[in-house]
Amino acid sequence: MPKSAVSAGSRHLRCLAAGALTLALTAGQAVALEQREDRGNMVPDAVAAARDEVFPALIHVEVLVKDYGWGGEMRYQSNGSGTIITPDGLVLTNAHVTDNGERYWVTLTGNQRVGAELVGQDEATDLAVLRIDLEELEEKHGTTKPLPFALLSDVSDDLQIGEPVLAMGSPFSLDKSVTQGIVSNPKRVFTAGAEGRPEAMNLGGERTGQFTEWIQHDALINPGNSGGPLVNLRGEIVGINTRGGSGMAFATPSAMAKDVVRQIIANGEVQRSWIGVDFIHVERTGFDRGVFVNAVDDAGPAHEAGLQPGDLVTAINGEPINVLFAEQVPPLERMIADAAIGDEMTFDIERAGSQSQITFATDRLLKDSGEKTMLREWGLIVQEITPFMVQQRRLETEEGVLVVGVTQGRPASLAEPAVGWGSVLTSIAGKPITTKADVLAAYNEFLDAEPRPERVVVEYLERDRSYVTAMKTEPLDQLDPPRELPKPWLGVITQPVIAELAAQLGHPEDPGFRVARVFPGKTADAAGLEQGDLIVAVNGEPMAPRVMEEAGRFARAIRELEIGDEAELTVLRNGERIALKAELDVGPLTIEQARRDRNRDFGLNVRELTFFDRDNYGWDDDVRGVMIDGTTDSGWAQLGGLNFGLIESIDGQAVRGLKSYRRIMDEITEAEPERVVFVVRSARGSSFKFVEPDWRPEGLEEDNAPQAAAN
Amino acid sequence: MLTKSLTLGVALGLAAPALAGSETIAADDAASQVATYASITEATDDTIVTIKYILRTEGGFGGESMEFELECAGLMIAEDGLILCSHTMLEGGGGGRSAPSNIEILFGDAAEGVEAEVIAKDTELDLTWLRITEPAEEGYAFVDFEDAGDTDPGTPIFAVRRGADFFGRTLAVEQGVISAVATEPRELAITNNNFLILPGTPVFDSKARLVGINILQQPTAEEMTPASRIALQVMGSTILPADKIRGATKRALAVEAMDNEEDE
Repeated sequence: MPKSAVSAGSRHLRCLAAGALTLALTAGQAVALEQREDRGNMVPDAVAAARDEVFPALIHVEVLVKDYGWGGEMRYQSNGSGTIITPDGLVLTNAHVTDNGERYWVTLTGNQRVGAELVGQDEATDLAVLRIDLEELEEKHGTTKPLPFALLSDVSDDLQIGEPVLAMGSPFSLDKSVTQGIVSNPKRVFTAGAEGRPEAMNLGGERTGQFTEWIQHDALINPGNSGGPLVNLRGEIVGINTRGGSGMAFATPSAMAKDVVRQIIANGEVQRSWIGVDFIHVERTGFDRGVFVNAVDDAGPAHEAGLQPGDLVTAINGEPINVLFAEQVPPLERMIADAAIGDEMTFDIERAGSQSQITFATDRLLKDSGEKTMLREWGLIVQEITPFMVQQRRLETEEGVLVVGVTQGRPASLAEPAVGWGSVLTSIAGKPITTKADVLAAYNEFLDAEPRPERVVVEYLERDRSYVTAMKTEPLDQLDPPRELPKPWLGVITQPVIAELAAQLGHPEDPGFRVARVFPGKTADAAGLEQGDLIVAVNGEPMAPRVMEEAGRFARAIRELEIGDEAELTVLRNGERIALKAELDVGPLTIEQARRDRNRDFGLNVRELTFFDRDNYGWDDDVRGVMIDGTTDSGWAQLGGLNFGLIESIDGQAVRGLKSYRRIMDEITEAEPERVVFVVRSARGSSFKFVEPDWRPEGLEEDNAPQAAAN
Repeated sequence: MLTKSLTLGVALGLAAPALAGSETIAADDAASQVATYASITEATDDTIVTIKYILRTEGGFGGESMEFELECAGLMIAEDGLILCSHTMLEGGGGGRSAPSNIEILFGDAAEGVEAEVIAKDTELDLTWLRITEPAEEGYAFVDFEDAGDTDPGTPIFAVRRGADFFGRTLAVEQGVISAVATEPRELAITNNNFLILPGTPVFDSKARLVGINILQQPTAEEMTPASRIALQVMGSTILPADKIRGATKRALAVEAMDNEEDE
């Protein structure tokens, strides 16, 4: 039978077999599908219904966080969960997810990933609201409002112990996840210390949780669930998962969240009343009613009205008050905080057995911690001073700005005397500094000056001592390591063959340096040196290593000659001594010697491509570019996946070396494109990396302030 | 007499005057020693400079760069402002990610310096050459390689270093002896092992002639064995002889000339 006929027949048979298999599979899949439909009942109706109510509104939140530490800025990525709560794309999440956020992205259940902006956050309740970029959502994904959204319920106060709940979110950034549990305690208050007092935690320098009675439940949550919804079996959001660990989870009640969201949408923040009183429960005070006044803030309205530590408050605005246990403190704190700012408040008090009444208007509760900013050119991180900080840090006044970070090697640290951590700046260049705005004005004036002053005189306080100093403000020189002296190089890698090994190899009288690698096209290659050759002398000088400590002797002997010299190598090859002559060439640039560039905008460090990189990756001379040498954490480059490899081109322009790289990057910085496309070569070939820079001005305090102001 | 007593004293690891056999000899030796110290101090004072600079290192916490203000010792080796120092002291072990910037050269106890830049380095020899960018017209006092001291074992040597600003940058002279001359990994004068001085410290003979500069010599990873690790700890200082420095300096100047041509 002709070969082609066999082939044709085989093909026919194969087609028949494939057809039969297809039919069989189709039939099998139909059965499987039928079975799967039956399996739909595996999920209890109530769970499925609750899931379907909230799941379409569930989102994954990513935040690029900018924080300060070690005298500089740090960027990293924070991940969390959230829920769309309005059809026009408002998202509820945790404040600890959005805190110090610089950029925000959300991924909807249909995998649509778009940007978002912060509407506001409330550290006290650890809640935040984001707004989805609807234009981007439509442009990129064709999705328009109304968006699917979930209901924030009022029923969190009515939750029962043992009630089933579902936690939804993105544990460890694994989105669209649901776990089930029960409510363990709907009114959990954290207490601490010997007195068992309610515990306020810290969120970015602000107290948090002091007003919250948490919903404790056992639906498994993990890092990444933060901000995700806790849902009852009616499909209502009853809480916002905020904390967890060791199988216990804690959610902020939805009723509280609803009120916070309303205020954030209206004002961008939550405004609260403050009276300047620290209450504790009476359990250990000897009283059996009322609430005990533990401390009174001198600057608060209650102090002005005459309230004193040790007083017992028995009624507020005519309503009897009894705070017998720690769990009853947060609701009282919240009741006072929820009063409208400026509202009158009347306390019935008992003092040393006598009763009296005081009335006062509430003040506004201020943030604990002032805003920080970095003055890069001076190497200073400063923070505005709040009344709380005045107390905590025992400062004299709120005037001035507090130094909370100093960059080593920059003007503030190099000034003599140096401006140190904890100093309060009171004047810069002769202008008084009382607020953060003053320091920013002084900084911008410095940045705008042509030429910039070489010295800036600064006055500052360290406690009650007043100092003056002058910061030298000259910029740092360009980073390029000094060039290494060129040395001769043969283009081989050798290993020492000490006497013991030489004996094993059958030439006990000839220790030497065995050629482990000959670099193609280099001097040794041209001279005819081969892998396996044993070099026993250079210019008649024996090369006989005694011990491994002499492993570098041959290479050193070559380096001690002159470039252009001819070296005569005595080589043992196949048991015979031969002489080879090699004209010594200049050694190639090593990776350590390569010049480098640091692009602060992209957080990208690169260096020259060296001969050794080419050799390592097997790249020939046609391959050109710059090697990635490091990235700043969560910088634009790192977020775009530029982690290692050779940058071959940027936005279609070939990178020939460091010089062209710098020129292209300068052009990009000038043009501020939305997206920059890098082609990066690695051992596995070339790939595209899409970097999306955020060119928006970071604020007047930053180095780009003059441009921002001009815009 | 001076040479003999110094050699004996140092060889035993003790100060020379304490070993003198009689009060007369001790007095003579002490007087000679004082004179020697004084002459070395006087001859080298203007050539021992302080290099003040900012070292920027990439790849710090979170990938950010870090800057530190540092100082190290330098030696003026030419009238036109050419200075030599230890590469290790200037750059540390940054592996190419560190670079000195904003370099100033301070003379004596001056608080303000003159600007300088690095022109070349030889990491293998642990040397870096710097040049004052706008040298003074009258030139600078310098150490002359042409009139170098010997490295014969037994030669008394004197390290000269400048103290910190806190001590008014006082010039200090320390005495040692050349114990041996090693040929591996290269020609190096080895000192007595309690003569521990920082890399970059110049060493003179009793006539204030440069013997060499202390350099850091470490085996590569390939050359390092557990035994050599211990042996290194009991070594004295390793002095690169002046004639070797002279040769390396010629190469450095050639590189500088090439760089200048390229710039033009």
